[in-house]
Amino acid sequence: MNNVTEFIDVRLFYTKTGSAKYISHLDVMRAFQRALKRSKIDFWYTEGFHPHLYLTFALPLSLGYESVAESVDFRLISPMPYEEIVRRINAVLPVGFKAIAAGKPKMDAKQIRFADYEISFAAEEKDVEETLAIWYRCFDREVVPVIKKTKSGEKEIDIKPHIKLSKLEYKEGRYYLKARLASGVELNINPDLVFAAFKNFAGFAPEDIKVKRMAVYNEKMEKFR
Amino acid sequence: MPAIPEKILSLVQKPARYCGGELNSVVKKKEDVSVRFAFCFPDLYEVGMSHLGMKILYSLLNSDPEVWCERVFAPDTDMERILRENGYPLFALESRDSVGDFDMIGFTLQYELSYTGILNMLDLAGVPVRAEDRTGLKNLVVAGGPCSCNPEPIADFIDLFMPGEGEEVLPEVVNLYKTAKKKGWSKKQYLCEAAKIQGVYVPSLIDFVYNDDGTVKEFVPKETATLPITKRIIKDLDKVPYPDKFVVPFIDIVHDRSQLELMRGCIRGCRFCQAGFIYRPVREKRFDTLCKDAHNLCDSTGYEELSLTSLSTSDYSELEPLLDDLLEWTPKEHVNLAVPSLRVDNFSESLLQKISKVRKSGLTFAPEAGTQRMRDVINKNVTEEEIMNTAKTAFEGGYTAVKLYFMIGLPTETDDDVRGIVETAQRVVNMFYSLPNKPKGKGVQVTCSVASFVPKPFTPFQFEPQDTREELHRKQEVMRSAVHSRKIDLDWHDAETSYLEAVLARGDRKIGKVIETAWRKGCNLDSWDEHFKFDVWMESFEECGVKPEFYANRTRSYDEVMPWDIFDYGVTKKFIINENKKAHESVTTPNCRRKCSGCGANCLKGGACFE
Repeated sequence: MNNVTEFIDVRLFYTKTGSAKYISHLDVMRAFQRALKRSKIDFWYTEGFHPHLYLTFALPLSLGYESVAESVDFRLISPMPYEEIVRRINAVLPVGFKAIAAGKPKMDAKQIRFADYEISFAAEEKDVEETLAIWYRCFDREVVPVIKKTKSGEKEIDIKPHIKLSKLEYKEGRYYLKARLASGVELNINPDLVFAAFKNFAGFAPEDIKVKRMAVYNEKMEKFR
Repeated sequence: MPAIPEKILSLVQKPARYCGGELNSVVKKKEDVSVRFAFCFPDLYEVGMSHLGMKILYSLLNSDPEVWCERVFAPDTDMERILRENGYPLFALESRDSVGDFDMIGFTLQYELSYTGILNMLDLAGVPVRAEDRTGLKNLVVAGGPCSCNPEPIADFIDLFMPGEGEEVLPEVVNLYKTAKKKGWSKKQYLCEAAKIQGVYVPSLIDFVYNDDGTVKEFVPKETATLPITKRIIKDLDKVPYPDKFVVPFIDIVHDRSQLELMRGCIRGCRFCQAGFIYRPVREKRFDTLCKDAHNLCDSTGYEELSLTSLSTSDYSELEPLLDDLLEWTPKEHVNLAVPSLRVDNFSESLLQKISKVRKSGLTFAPEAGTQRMRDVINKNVTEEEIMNTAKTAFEGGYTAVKLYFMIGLPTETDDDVRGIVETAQRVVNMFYSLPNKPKGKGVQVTCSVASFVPKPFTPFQFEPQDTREELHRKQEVMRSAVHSRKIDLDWHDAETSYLEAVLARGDRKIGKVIETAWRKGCNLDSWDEHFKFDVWMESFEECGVKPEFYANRTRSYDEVMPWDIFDYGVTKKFIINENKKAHESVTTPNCRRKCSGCGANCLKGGACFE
């Protein structure tokens, strides 16, 4: 007889801010395993030799970035109202992580195509006008080449078609911009790549870069849910 | 000093070591507390965070609303460079405030090779390393832990030691500090009052007088100090708070699991083992206390593994009912049980069956010596037959790799004993191939991990010389040439590390300047092979005019005054001497449960150890 456990898929949206940005993706996974276990919600566990709580994260976040648009999928073996799930998980999450919503997954993580970021940085040694000018010269080029590390080695790619940057604004010692970058399993342009391209062009690297992921979208620019 | 800017965290490897915010870490408002205590572990986060004692005392101190205890670990070299280059101080994880802002700075002394780390951490915090240079009450530096049973080598740097168990004495010392702060006492006034507390040692209140030959002549207590100083113990472990929460780190640490402490002390009395003597008398926790502790920890941490910890877990008298209880609920709650430090000689059939349900983490046993004669000398009451039986059971249970722990350089050791290590391993290999039901299709691998013996205070071998490095190297060669099978792997710690450990373990106050010199020349994190600078240490001994062999390789007479004779650890010197004599006669001593041998430690408890 085929004895398949029934389970309910749930997607939890959460934020990762403050010093939690220094927790690597691998460590976040472990922290969630333990946090969810503490919540005493009836989760579905894998049925292998070493059963573990089944967790899937969409679009891993780089170490050092904040985000208000993270999500993790898990499975329940008995139903529970989504608000209750959010409440119970918030009671057990470490500082810097906050559950904001839960629901039935509507999209596959493979459909993710874009992500929005808010970025700021400093360049204390450099003249403001000059920095702004170099920035625009860099990203107004027809082609913005950068070396991207992939599993099969390093290759040069043109990120120009895959990035959309707002105006760069300077305020009280820091530069601010918004960026919409190609994201997902097929092509992932990390904000670090944008800065690598800038560094190649400008000959200096921005300092104290702060990145916050604001939203994740599919091809039709619908928010990932 | 400038405050720690968050951006430095993005410049180091593993920033989660330094960023705090772990689950169950305690954050208070500094305005709300009267004493801030920096609990410092002089090694990296991954090592220090694994340490049970720190978890116990962190939880205990923070249960007082007037006290905020925070954690501090030694920074790795990349972080240290950034701190020093920018003039940032070493900081505590919870508040990210400089360690120099704290009222009390406490160090746990887990191993001798961490001593330079203490100096380095104080210095990084902008705190003078020598006690005499810290004139105010603020930044009072205190220490406890196993190495405080002979704290003389670091007595120049520490204001106050608490030998023995800390759960009662540490709050007493902290409460006295509250009073001192309120009344505006000087540091001297505080230390004089503290010295009246049982189990508190204030080095500045006891002078050491030496003989011309460099040995200790006598101790001269001053002001309020009296001798001997009796170590503190917890008489009833069921009545002392055990943490219901552990700080759960984000990064992987050495022991990343819930730890359930079954008992303190060990009934065995292996003569080389310092823990076996300094933690006496044996005290067990009750089965129902442990069941409650286990539930609390699993619920509050979400850890997927629970380990039973003690010096010798299979000697816990209620192990079987405890395992029955734990095996009842842990699988349902997706918690694995881990049972380390099982002895090879008391695997009962039913215990073995229970253990076999427990997740296996590799099989190790510690015969410690390669011949029966040698095992009798060290009182490791394990026979060849028991070793073979245990290995056989393991192989029949599907294991094909076993690890055996041994020592070389033991008192009375001959080359036959050294070769006996390899011969024992060879017999384990041969036994594997003789088994009709051995695991199919796999070879066997027997790894012998061979340490160099380090004589330690309060053990019957405290009088014994350590083998010279040359002799240890020669014995390593004897072993190497005795191996004739590729199924046997030998590995050993280098003799240089053990040599330094031997000097520091039985050192006196004259060693302090050597430690300071070595640290100023760049020694730090000496327990890490990649940081250990043996030549620099030897240079430092030379410069200070201190002969390391005086401490490591010299035989002490029974009537010599030892630097640690200022302490009463319960076990009498008479018993230790008697055990030493028995060792030289290859006579064993039965374990404490079979027969009380009258070591004296039960005086601390005020009654017999076993009913």
